[in-house]
Amino acid sequence: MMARKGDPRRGEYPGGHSRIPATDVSIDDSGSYLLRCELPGVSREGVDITLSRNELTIKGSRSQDEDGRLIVQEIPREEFRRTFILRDDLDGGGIEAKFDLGVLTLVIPRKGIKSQSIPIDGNGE
Amino acid sequence: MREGGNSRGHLGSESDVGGTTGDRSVRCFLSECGWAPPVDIYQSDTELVVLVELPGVDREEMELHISGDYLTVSGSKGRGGAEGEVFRRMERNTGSFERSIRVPSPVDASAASASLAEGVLRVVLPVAEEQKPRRLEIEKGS
Repeated sequence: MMARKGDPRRGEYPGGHSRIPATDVSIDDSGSYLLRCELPGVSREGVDITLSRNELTIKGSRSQDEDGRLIVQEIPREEFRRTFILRDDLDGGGIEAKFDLGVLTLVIPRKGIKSQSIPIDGNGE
Repeated sequence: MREGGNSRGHLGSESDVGGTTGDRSVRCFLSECGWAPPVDIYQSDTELVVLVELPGVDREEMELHISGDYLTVSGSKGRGGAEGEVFRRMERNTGSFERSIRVPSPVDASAASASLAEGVLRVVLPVAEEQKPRRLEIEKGS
């Protein structure tokens, strides 16, 4: 299970506030971990994913502001930021990322498990 | 309810409408709907722009209505995931959602338009012609 690190509610981020993106974590049938991380209003270019040792950090800043006077504001202005600790058996080098409808999906495979097609013995009898 | 700053802190009764601004023109009716997305509203001389955060919701999964003073967006959001996928942490809002806002000034609803990008619905409501600021000529005194 991946732990979350750096909870800003506990003051663990130095230098300003950030917004914690809502994230689902799941495991698929090959043992890979999937993160689905909501980054609404962030463009593809505005997403920054870094891996430092086993710390996976996702950051995102909103691309642009509207003209006009803001008369109702419920959407936080802070940039998105969240760090996950990868388990030792996860392969940080093999992460695949996809970004669609404001949701970043990361697939983190298990170490040493390569996806490959497995031949089925027999000749179709 | 929680103070603003968290998009999931807006599930609530009318007592917490208006988010962090205290603006009572924003109303959130949650009777049977599961969750309500947060909104921003911008106003200029010519248009009103409403932004609604709906990450992970496709165009076909939402409906937008304007009726009288009220703009309503509703729909349903799936969690996604393949067969055999086991969820260990579920933080994202899923299921049906609905959000109504009272449009704070008269708009030309027939000329309204909406677009969806990067998980944000953007609704543009042109200000009604008679509401636009105009220049008054000062008649020459005799």
